[in-house]
Amino acid sequence: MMDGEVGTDKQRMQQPKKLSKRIGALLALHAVLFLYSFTGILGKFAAEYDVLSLPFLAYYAGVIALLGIYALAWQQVIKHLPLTTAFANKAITVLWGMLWGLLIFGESINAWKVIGGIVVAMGVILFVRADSDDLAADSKDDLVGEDL
Amino acid sequence: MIAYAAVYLFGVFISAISQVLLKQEALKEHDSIIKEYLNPSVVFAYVLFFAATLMSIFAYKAIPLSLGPILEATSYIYVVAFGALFFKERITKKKICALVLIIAGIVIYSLGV
Repeated sequence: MMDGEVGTDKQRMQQPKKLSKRIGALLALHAVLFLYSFTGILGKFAAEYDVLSLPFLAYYAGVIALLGIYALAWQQVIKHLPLTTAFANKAITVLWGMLWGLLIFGESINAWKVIGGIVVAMGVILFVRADSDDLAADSKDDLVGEDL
Repeated sequence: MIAYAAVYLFGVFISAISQVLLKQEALKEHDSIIKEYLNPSVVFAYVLFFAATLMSIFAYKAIPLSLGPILEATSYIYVVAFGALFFKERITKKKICALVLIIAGIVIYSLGV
């Protein structure tokens, strides 16, 4: 799997994929991440009920089902994108969390949250880039698996 | 509120441990596909994973939904720590800088909660 990642990155540099295909893969990635953000919504709904009550179990089952679908879809999407791009774009979940919190649960947004969110997202993107530099330098390692 | 946030953070930690167990098993040779999935380590990893999801839901009783993905970013700390401990991955300055940025972001965000 590892060699594949580095290979994909190298390939991309040598012969850029067709733009339409790259955009398609990116859209698919964001569809998957968008879906993933719903696990938070379901989890937050589940939290409103007693553990083992029927609504709790229904929402919890929803969370687990979505995580399963997400894991499978993620595996497919990363076949068509450099892993660095895929993981860096994961930072978008910070934005979805704030948006769903605001729209569905009436949470407030202020300057601290916006700036904090941007800094966290920047940190994640920087981390993924640092990790890919590391992978290119030494192709024996892998990211600690985290597709769930 | 802080206690609930701590539960969420602990869930992220537990989840990282479960990933380490899964990766360690994925790197091993197994006699059969059944043994690849049904061995104590993998089963325990999935128990941890389910425990982690329950912890995040419990935490959501008090923390805002928007804080979830922010706290989730602490997983990168464990990627670095466990990567170095168990998989001989390098800890680079760039990674440390990124982690500092992530932690700073979490602190800034928390000021607004």
